Amino acid sequence: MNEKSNEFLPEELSPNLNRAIASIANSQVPSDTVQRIGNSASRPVVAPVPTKDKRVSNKRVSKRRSNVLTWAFAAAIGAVMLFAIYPQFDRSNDLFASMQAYMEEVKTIQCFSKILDKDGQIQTTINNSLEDDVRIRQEFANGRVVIADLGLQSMVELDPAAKTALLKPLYREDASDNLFERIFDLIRGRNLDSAVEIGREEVEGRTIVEYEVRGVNSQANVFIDLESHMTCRIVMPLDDNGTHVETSQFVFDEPLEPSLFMMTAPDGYSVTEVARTALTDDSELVLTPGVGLGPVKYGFTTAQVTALLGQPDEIFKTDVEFFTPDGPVTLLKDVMLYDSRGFQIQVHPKFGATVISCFDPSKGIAGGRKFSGSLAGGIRIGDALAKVESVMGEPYKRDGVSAAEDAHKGSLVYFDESNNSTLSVRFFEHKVVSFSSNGESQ
Amino acid sequence: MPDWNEIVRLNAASVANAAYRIIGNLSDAEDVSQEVFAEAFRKWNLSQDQNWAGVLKRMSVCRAIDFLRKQRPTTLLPVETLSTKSTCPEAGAISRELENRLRVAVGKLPPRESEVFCLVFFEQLSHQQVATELGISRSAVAKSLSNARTKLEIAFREISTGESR
Repeated sequence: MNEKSNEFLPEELSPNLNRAIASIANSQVPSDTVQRIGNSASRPVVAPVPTKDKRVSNKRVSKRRSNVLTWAFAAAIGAVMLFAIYPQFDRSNDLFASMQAYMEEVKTIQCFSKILDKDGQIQTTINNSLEDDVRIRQEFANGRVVIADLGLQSMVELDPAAKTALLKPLYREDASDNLFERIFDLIRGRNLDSAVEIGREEVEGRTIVEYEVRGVNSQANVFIDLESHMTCRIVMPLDDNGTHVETSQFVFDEPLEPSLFMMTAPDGYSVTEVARTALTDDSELVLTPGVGLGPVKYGFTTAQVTALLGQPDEIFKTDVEFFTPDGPVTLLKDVMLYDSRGFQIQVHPKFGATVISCFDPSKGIAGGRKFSGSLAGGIRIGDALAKVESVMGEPYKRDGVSAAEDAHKGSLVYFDESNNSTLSVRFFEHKVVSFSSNGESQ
Repeated sequence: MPDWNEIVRLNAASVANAAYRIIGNLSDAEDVSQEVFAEAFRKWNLSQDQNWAGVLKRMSVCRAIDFLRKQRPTTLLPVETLSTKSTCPEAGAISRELENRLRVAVGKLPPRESEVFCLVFFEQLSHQQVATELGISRSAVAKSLSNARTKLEIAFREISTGESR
C-alpha cells in the first residue's frame, strides 16, 4: 500500500480489506483495450445540437398554445378540487424535500449553537462550521476555548488565564454518533427516518414551519422558512431535564474566518501535547460495583492504577462535594481520564480510587473510544434497556425512565446494601451510554 | 490550445484503469471510459486550461461509482479478471472474491466517501491532490476517508462474522 493513504489513519487496515485494496489498486486493463478506447474517444460522436431550422407554422403554434392553456386550466381546477376534497393534504413534505435538495448544493455551513438548561440559561456557547467536515469552536464563560476539527481528529484547549494550550487527538470510530455531526445532519435533513410538520408560526412577517424529525441517532425540532425553504433553527433535546441545544444564525457558502478555527497555540502559550494511543483490547475488563474495574480495586492509588491499566490520556483535578453530618466538605480529587479507552477513574488523595465510570465519549466534542469491556452481568455500552432490566432486576431508583417502552433517555440507579455501593446506568435512545459505580461507603 | 487527440492518448490508460478498478468488468469499464471522454469532449471548450489528467481521472471514478450503484450484484467471469498475479488458483479465487466484496461495499458508501476512497486507495492520490481535485479541504478528505474506512471495515467484519456462523 502507498504510505500516503495512511495519513490520519491511526490504525492499520484489516488484512482482508488491505488485500482487496492492494489487489484492485494493482489491476490494469490490457493495452489493446486502452488502444480501442483511445481510438473511439479521439473522434467522439456528439449528439447534434437542435437548430431553429425546423420551424413550425403559426397555425400549429397557436393550436399548441390553446392546448397548453386548456391543460393548465384543467390542472388548476384539479388542484383546487384536491385541496377542497382533501383538506388534510399538505405540502409540508414538499417543503422539507425542497430544503434537502437545496442543502445538497451547499458546501459550507456556519452556525451558532447554544446549550440551554430548562430555565433557558446559557451553559455553553458554540460556533460550528462545516466544509463537509465539522469544526467546532466552543467558548466557555471562564474564557477557556476548545477548538476541534473532527476531520483531522484533533483538538486544542486554550486557557487564556493560565496561557496554556493542550493539544489532544480525537478518537471517533463512529462519526454519526457525534452531537455536532448530528446537528449538521439535521441542518441538511440527512439520515432521517421521518419529518412531520407539527406547527407554523409567524416570525417577523415570515412563516416558519416546525417539523419534528427522527433519525437513527437524532430527534429534534427543525424550523424551516416557508419563503426561502431553508433551515433557520434547530432544537435538539439533550436530556429529560430540559437541557437542549439550540442552533441558529445559519450562514451558507461564505468563507470561514480562519482565526476562529486555528489549531495552533497563540504565541506565549505553554503547549502540552497528548499523543495518540493505539487501540487497547479492554474487552475482558469488567466493572464490578463495590469491587473495581478489572485488576484495579476501589482504594487503589494513582500509581497503582497506572501500573495496572497504563498511563491515562490525561489527569486533572476536580472539586467533589461530600455531605457529612458536620456539613458539606469539598475535596480535591484526581481524575484519571482514559478517553481513548472509554473510562475514567476518580482517585481521592486519602481514600484512593472512589468512582469508576465507563462510557462512550465519541458522542461528545472531545470524542474517544467506546468502552469495550462490560459491567458485571455482561452488560455493555450500547446494550438495550430491556436487557439491563432483565439482568439487573428492579432498580432502586429511576431517573427519567418511566417504563421500558417509553424510555428515551435517563438512568437506572442500583444500590447494593451488602457493600453500600451504588451503580448508575445511563441511557440514550433506549441504549446504555455509560455506567458508573463507587466503592464501599464512598 | 491543447490537442484533443493528444489529451485522449495521454489519459486513455488512466481513465480505463480507474474505471476498471472500481467496476471490475472490462467491457463495462470500456463503456464508462468512452462515456467519460464523450462527456469531457462536450465540455472541453469551456475551459481549456484544465488539469486534464486529474479531471478525467476524477470523472472516470465518479462515472464508475455511478455505474456500480446502478448495478445488481453479478459474478464476474474468470476470463475478465485480470488483476490476479498469483500463480496459485486458490489464492487467485480468494483475491477475486475479496475484490468483488470491496466493490460492492464501495458502491454502498455515500458518494463523497466512495469517491475519496477510490482516489486515495485505488488511484494512489495524496490527500492534498484529492482535496484539490474535489475542491474540498484536506481535513474533509481525511474525514471522508476515515468514515469510508470504518464502514468498509465493518462491512468486511460482517462478512467474516456471517461466514463463521
